[in-house]
Amino acid sequence: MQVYKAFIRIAMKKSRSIIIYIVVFFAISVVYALSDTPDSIFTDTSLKVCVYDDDDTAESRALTDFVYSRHIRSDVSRDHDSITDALYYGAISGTDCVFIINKGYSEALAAGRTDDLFTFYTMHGSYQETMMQAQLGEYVRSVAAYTAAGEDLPDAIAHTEKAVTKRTDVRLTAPDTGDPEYPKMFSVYFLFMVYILLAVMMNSLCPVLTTMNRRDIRFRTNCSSIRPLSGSLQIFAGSVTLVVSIWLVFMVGGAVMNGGFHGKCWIAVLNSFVFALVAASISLVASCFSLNPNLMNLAAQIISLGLSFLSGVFVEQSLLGDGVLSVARLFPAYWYVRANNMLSGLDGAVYDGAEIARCIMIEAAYALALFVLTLLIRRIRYSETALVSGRNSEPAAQN
Amino acid sequence: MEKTVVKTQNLVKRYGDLIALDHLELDIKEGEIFGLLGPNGSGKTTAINCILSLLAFNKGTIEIFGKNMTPASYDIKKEIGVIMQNVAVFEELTVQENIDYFCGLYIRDKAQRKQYVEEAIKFVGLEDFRKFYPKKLSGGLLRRLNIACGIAHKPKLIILDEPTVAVDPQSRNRILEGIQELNRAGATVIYTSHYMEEVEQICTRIAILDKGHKIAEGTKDELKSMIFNTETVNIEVLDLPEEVRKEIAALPHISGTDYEDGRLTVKCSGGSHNLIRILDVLRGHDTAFGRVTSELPTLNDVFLEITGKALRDKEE
Ligand SMILES: Nc1ncnc2c1ncn2[C@@H]1O[C@H](COP(=O)(O)OP(=O)(O)OP(=O)(O)O)[C@@H](O)[C@H]1O
Ligand SMILES: [Mg+2]
Repeated sequence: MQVYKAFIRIAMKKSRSIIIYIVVFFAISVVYALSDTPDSIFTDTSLKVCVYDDDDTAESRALTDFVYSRHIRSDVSRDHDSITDALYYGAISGTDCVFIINKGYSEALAAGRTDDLFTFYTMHGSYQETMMQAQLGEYVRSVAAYTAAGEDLPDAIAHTEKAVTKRTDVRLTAPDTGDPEYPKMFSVYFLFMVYILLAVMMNSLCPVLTTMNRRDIRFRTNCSSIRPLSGSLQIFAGSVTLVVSIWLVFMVGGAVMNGGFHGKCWIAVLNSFVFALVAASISLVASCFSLNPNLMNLAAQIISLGLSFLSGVFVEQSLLGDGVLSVARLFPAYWYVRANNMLSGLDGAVYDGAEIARCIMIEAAYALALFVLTLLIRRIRYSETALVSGRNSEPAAQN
Repeated sequence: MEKTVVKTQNLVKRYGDLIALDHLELDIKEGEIFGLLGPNGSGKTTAINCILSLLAFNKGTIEIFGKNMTPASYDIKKEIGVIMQNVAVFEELTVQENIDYFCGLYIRDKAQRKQYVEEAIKFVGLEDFRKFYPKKLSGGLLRRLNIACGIAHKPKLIILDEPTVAVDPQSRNRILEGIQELNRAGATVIYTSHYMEEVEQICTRIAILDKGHKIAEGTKDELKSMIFNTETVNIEVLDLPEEVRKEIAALPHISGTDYEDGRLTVKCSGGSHNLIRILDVLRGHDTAFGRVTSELPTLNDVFLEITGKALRDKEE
């Protein structure tokens, strides 16, 4: 247990930089969870809207109907207190925004003017209000464009309604297939796990292993009465402890932020565990080269950032060129991100259980292959230093 | 009867074409401080590594405590403490944790280990530095830590490979005294160095290596008596007539004379009262002389005479 204990002790003493990584990661995740992720802009969020039609013309009624057809109608009696209450307790009363179609809307539109057509009751510059304004702006500009092109007002409105509806449909196809049950936060949390697992594993496992494998230390250990196999097993056990603890920290953190896991989240948990093993075996390979701390840090940055970019953590896979993707497929991180996207519906991916299983298997195969590679490298490197290990239990020649 | 602790026979180690150990025969007895002396590259470290079974060798046998030594001879390894030239400790562990770690590779019992670690700390005088990290220790203290890590488990055989390289004289003396103390406490010591003064100071028996070859062995006096010159006498003489020099050269036990820059150098081989007889000749001719010094041979002279070259370069 001596070697194992020293391993853990050294890991603890190297943990300061790792803790910084973990804290920053959690801080970013919390910020992400609290704010709306960018992709929700693309989803067709239905707002609870109240419209007061002061113009009361065919055109303004058409707009009111159009708004209510796309959003949820919420009637609020038209007095200052009611409106304030409705907006203030938006989440409870179920009203996201209240606006007036100003008198003269129809005339202004016919004259091609698109400003000062609406009056918003503003509580606070909410995202819902901004979205409503954007949609109304788009609507009136479209009508103005059609009329400018020579159409009369009813035709322009009909065309606009058709165009806006159609465009929204196209835009909504992909994300809608994502599982609404799947927590939004996790789609990003597990995605960034690629970077954080690689960075943390390389910054924790590599320095500890490099220390334990230092030539002079190994020399001393080989002089002692401890069996080489026992020493190796203890180092292996120490590595496993470290890897599993780091992974658990992220899982517990995720569970706390999301209030537990359910359903497909468990597949993401499994996926991340397999990827933790991949990150660990990449660290094992890296530690074979006994790099000095600065070089090791550099290698950690290059590998964690490089793989993250390449495999679609920071840029969606669908936006990467075919050339990049064909290279990315050679790296395990690509398969992790692919499985993750299929779970979260991110990047237009569609859930496919069999394909996810295949991705996880590919990652596992990488982890295993890298582990075997480590054993090979160590065998070559350590016999090179001419240190005889317990394998050859007889001196070379006795003649 | 003295017991043999380490015995190597016909030990040959080759690195490719280079013969690092050439039929090395060592027979180290219990209670000795055995010195392996030789210039850089003479095979000292190679010999140690073979004895420790860290290195496979091409030919020969090694016995320790009367048993054949192999990489799997854990019962033998348990009784050996090793201190190498470079400091091998964990930067990440404190003085105490380091000693505990290396001691723990031999001693499993916790209570006993605690006591041993404590004794080792006291032995090297690091009581005030228990919680220090190696980085914070001065060079000399670091060496002491290195030694403590090697001897905490109270080995019966202690092997030191140039433990004093790049150490200041004060720390060096402390280390040498420590080694003698361990020896008095019952440990057999193998000590390698290319500093002949150190080896002369502490070793009870010395083997001189050159190119993997053992060229001489014995106590320092035995070694010195092996060579022809036993004493070199230097005398300041301002003006030395040639016939006086010839008369001195003709004295018994004088193997050579040399007169240069007002200095007369006389090499003697054995015999006694050489100095008195030389000075008598000078006085007999009323030749004035100044400072007189007499040098006993060093191991360097031994090495020089056997191999025809100096043990180590003068500037070292
Ligand atoms: N791994 C190796 N491969 C090839 N040659 C080696 C190796 N190790 C040592 N040698 C050679 O073997 C010879 C003996 O080396 P060794 O290290 O045993 O000498 P040493 O007496 O310990 O010298 P030093 O005083 O410098 O420590 C040297 O010529 C050295 O160059
Ligand atoms: Mg050496």
